[in-house]
Amino acid sequence: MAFRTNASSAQPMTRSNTAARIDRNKPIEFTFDGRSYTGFAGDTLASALLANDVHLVGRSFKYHRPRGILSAGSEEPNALIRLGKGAYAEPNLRATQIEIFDGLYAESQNRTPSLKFDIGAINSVLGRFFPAGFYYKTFMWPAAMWMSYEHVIRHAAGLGKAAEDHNDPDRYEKTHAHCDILVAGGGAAGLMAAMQAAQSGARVILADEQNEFGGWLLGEANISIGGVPALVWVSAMLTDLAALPNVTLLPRTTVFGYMDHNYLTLNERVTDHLPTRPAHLPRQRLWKVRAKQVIIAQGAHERPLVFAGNDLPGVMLAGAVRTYINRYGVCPGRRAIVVCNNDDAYRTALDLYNAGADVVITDLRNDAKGPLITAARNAGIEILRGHAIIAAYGNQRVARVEIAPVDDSVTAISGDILHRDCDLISMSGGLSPAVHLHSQARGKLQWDGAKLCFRPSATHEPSFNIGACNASFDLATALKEAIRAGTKAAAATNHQTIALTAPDVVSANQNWKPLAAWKIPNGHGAGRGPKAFVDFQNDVTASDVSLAAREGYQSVEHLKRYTTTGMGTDQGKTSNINALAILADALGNEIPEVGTTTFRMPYTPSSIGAIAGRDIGDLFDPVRLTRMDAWHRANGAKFEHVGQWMRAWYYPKGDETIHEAVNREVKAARTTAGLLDASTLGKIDIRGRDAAEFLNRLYTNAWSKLGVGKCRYGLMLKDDGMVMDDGVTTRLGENHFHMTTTTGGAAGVLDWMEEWLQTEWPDLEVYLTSVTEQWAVATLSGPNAGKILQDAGIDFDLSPAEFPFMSMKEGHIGGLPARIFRISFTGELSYEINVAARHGLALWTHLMTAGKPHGITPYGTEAMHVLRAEKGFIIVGQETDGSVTPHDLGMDWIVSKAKSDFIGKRALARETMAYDNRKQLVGLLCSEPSTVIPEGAHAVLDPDQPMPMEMLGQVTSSYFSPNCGRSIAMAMLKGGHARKGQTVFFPMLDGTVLKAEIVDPVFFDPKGERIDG
Amino acid sequence: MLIITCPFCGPRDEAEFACGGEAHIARPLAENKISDAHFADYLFMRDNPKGLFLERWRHSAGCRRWFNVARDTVSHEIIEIYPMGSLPKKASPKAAYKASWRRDTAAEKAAVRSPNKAGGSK
Amino acid sequence: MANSSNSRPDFSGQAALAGIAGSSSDNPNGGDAGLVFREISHLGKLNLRGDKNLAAAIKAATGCPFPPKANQFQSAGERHVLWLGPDEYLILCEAGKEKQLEDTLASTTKSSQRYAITDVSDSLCALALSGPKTRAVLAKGCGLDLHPSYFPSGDCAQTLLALAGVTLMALADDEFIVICRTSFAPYIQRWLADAALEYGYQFVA
Repeated sequence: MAFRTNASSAQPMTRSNTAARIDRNKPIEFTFDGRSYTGFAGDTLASALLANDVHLVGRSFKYHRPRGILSAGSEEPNALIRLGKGAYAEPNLRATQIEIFDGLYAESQNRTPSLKFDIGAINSVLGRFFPAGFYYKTFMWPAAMWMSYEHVIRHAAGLGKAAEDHNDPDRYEKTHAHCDILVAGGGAAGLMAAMQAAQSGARVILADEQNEFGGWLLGEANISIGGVPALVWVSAMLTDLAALPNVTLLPRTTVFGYMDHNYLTLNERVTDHLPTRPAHLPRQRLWKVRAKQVIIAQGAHERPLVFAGNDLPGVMLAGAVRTYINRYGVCPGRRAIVVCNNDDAYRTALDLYNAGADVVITDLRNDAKGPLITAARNAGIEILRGHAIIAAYGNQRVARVEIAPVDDSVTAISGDILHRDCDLISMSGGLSPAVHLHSQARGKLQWDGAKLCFRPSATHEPSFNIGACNASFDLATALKEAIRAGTKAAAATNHQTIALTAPDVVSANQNWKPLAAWKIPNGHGAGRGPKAFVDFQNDVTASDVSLAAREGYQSVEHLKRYTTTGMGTDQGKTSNINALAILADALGNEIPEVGTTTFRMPYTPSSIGAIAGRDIGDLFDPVRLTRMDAWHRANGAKFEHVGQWMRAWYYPKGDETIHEAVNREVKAARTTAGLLDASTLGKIDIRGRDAAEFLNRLYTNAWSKLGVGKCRYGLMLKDDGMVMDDGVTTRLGENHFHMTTTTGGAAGVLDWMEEWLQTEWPDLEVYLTSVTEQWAVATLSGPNAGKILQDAGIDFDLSPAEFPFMSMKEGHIGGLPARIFRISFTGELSYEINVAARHGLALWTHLMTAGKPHGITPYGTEAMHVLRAEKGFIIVGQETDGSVTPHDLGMDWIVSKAKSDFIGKRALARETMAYDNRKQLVGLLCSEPSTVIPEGAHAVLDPDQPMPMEMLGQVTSSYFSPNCGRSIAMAMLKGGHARKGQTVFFPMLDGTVLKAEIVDPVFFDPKGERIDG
Repeated sequence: MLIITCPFCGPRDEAEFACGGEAHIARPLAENKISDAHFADYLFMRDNPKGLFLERWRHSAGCRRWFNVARDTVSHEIIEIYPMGSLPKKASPKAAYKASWRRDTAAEKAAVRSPNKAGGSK
Repeated sequence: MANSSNSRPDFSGQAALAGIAGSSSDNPNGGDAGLVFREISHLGKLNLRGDKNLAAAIKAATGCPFPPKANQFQSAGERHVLWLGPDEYLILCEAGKEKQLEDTLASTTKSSQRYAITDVSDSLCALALSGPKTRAVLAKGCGLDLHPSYFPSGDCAQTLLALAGVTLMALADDEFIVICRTSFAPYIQRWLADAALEYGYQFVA
């Protein structure tokens, strides 16, 4: 902060002069916490903030401690940012991955009122009182207080703040993709493997989460591959790969999920990095990739060292510091302490030194040697061997450290404490291979005792791990591994290729075996002294882990839930190994015995929008429309969803209410005529020599003797004897039937029939074809139905003698070929007129015209329900719920006694089916004729009994019947058939009680005298 | 998501299929009277093993045909796919079929009409 | 008795997408639209069930040889025979020729032959797709490997496109027929136009 004078200054002092991957000729303006800053094209938000000497970027979750930028990649636990404004705002994005663009707007999170002054930080002062499991311990008793505790906890919980407007305005897409070989990770190993595999002609997808391929090479200096600087080699590889038609390169694409049978999910950030997002492009695209072989080259994550104050802004991972210097041209400090247990951090020390910083190396080892150590010594860098940082201090950025000599096992301080001022700590605790995808796919891990890390062993899916994620940290080794994997993967997909020659690597040799030092002593007793963090995002300290172990949370999975270590957006990428090593230490166990927690998808957070894709709004679910839909719409119909179908519900005239409109429609169908669009009914064409026999087995009643041209109602049971569907089936020919099903049951019934034909009775010759949409259906019902058909130009005799109830005739209406079924769901004279669907609208408008003088009235599904309830006709799914037999419905008449078998027959004979307390269908008449008992209301015999009351059953259908002049209802009541004449009560939520008499469920025209008009 | 090789259409995504549960549950013939308890073995009892399972699948979004699958419920490995109405041929599914408790049930015996005419394979 | 003098229904018949106007969106990168599509109105469609012994009758009726393998189709002019399942075929023919085909098939089939034929012309809607991005658009909603080497012309498949069941036919690298249930046609139409946005599209009404 001290270095900055104003936002427009050309180049803050922290920019180094290294050859970086930024374009210094393209300054970019952005806003962070209300203040504007300048960065360069190629910067991430993190590098641009560091370039402006901004280290404090967030507050921690539990203690609200000031936090800075730890890493330079997707493992970042601290620098979580809310990006964008209004509906476009997105929380919890990692500043280390956000590419800056002009006008970028970002805010820090988890602070009130401001980042520099945050009242929540009081938790840090009180930190002694917030140990592991604090919430579990504090908010347990008394149980009655839970409701108020929950409020406190919910307020404290949750990371970041979602957009205020929940309608995400961005476009997201999904796509499927197939390849022979998917390479996850485009660093040195991934590029080499992709090139090797692609040589064979195999289809290759290479995905990398960064905006550029190259992996950690992007952040290195002084490495050459194949005789040229490493990034020149990367660039040449990319040029060659891009030229191959069988290669798809996906930068900015995270492989975040690895599922069974090599199915992987990738999130491509298509336009996130652009100042304005083109409307035709998705912001993000979800790739659903099926790969024959997978090569995982995810790299590794550097581990922090666990010392007091290791969470201060200005304490960074050594590899990240190197990346900021070399890739972004940013030197994050001028006075740096490098603390490490391995050789790799010496590269950072040298790069810091070359960038002009003062550097001190604090090496936990006292025997380190090799070219890198020599190089550091030759450069004149001070090296404190066998020393550790035992505490770091600072206000909003690290300012000074205490360094002390430690014993060989780094468990005790062995000498005097040194004090040094600094503004940067570069720490390295060794590398953890990113075994996430391998583990998601249920690959096995093994502990590498030399390299101190878990590495993949056996794979579960057809896949290979190469490079750093396979603990092959040495570049030359990784490239050879890549060539082997590329060759083998290609061969496994039947593509032959000759192994390429591994390019020469020139880089200082280093020892990849770090010193085991999981927790650095601070000279205080257990649980005392300043906090040393293991998990930065969840504010879990080393003493929290030890405490949890002492309290008995000894399984690593329990430790995770109790302390929350490894949870959150980073899922413990930097913390897991340290946490379980400290747990192992506390338990006196070996690390491999403690094991890891389960790795689950997603590897990094993925937006829900990308998973939803375009299955939103109009495309959320297919909406099926009938051929008469345009007429319904033009005539003001209100619609209801029936499955995926949109059906006309009622047709209000003027300002009629639904009640008024339905009453009018119901009245008209019994006094003049009504017209219903019944096109959605399921229709199945059944053909074959054994069609009648099949129906015999499928339905409860007999079908063999049904005459050609005759219709019959049928009830279909599951094999447990319970009603599953009903409908009318008509014999069109000796071996040809036309079945109708309920609208909602259509697909299920066809599947059901196919299942029995294919799996149980393959010997039957029966063919089924869905013809639901082949026919448009208008149902004309009411006393004037015949007259209207006459006027519409029917070409055959409609008299009941010639065309009796439950028969079908083919003919013409006004010249249109039609199948007309004399069946009725209203109890009135009724014709179900089927025409080829293309003529549906023409039929409907023709009938409306012809019926006008006869009072024809279109009616919707609501009136249809009332009309059938007046007649006591059931609706499957309304009166029935999968636990209702024909007997329960009072429909014994439809169950054949003569047939030897049908689906459900044996089950109906079970002892329990005859129990007289089964729920049975009855009618109800409310004592208040104008009151409609709510559907779902529960009946009791005594409304004054104590709670919980003994339930008798429930109301299944309930309407006002204009034709009866009163309310009517149907119900399923225990022992209902024997209770006719009894009174039952319905206690309502508002304390009132409704009363009703149990009656027969046929309320209108019980003798069926109206069926012929 | 599994890849299931439909015997007719070839390898397709699991999303195109519907799982029909345990295979080889023979339906007792009506002519063979059995007790409610024995009938319940057919009607209600279903296996849910950890490991090899013989189950029925249908290519619901494709050719709509049913077939049998021998699948490991732990590893999700598909060991064998074989036609409806037939028995597995590979060693482990064959052994799993033989070892099933169903082979000794009255319900299964009641599914057979005569020794030379096998019952349903549902 | 018929008294139809005062009104007669319109006999022309409505296509599945009759109510949907043509629409288009420019290719944002310039040049031709990535996808051009239209309904093939009233294309004749017959669902045929039976075994391979129907081959001669099918050849006689349609001129198409029998599909050699599962998930393939054979063509003769505007007629196509698609293999849908072990005993199921779909015949596509010129609008209005369904009945004639049905009759020819019946007359050339042996009486012992088990088969069933059902007119599904109105039950299914066929869309013709063309343009350089046809396969890329379909891949957004279809899990099949649509690379021309895996789904060459002559291949067909019943599968899922987004949230609807469809039958895909590859006529050429850039030319497909997509057949769906008629009531799903408006959904498929909307989905295709939306999915093709980044390539530009033209829907011909």
